[in-house]
Amino acid sequence: MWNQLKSAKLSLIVCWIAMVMFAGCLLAMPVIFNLYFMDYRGFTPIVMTRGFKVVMLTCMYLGVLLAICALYGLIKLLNNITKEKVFVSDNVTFLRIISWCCFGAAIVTVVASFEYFPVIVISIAAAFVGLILRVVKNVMQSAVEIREENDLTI
Amino acid sequence: MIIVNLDVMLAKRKMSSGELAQKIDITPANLSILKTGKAKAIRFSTLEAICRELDCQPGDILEFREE
Repeated sequence: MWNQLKSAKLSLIVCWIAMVMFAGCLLAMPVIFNLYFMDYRGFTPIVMTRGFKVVMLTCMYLGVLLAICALYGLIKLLNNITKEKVFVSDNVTFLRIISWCCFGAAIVTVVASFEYFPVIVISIAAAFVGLILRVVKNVMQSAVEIREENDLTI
Repeated sequence: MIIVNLDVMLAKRKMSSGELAQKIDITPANLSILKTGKAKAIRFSTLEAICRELDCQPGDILEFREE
């Protein structure tokens, strides 16, 4: 039977898969960079200056680090949920971390967009997700207060 | 502030906390929260049960004091 616990476990597994993929990205970053910006014959569609390469690679590394940070928060959050600790102040902290990671990614991609404009799309998406998570965090914060009040009503 | 004088009433009735908790069907941990003044609120049903078991009025266990 499908239940809430199994659903949380599935999310946890997906998070770990994403974590492994991002860790792989971190190791294979120069290869990914070359694959994305050059085609296989070595033709360079964009004028690839040294500055371009440095800025883009730095932004990509920072972005992946932020993603790993956010995934770490997500995994911690899911672990708490599987332990039936849902409305606790720790979870508010984790949501705050994830939301700040999103905003961080938005800033990083804005910087990258000066070199390669299309990544601005990622920036907007990241900022939007960050905003939604902030609201979820606020909701969670209120829920924690209500739970504490309820626990201390005898 | 509101002070819970449950200890005094328990002593008068010569009843232990554990016994009262059992009689009013709440956990000893929750009764302890009430006795130590950590509680934020008390349900009417709980208050009713305590008053019934200790044969007293709410005023006998709750007291208002100026802060």
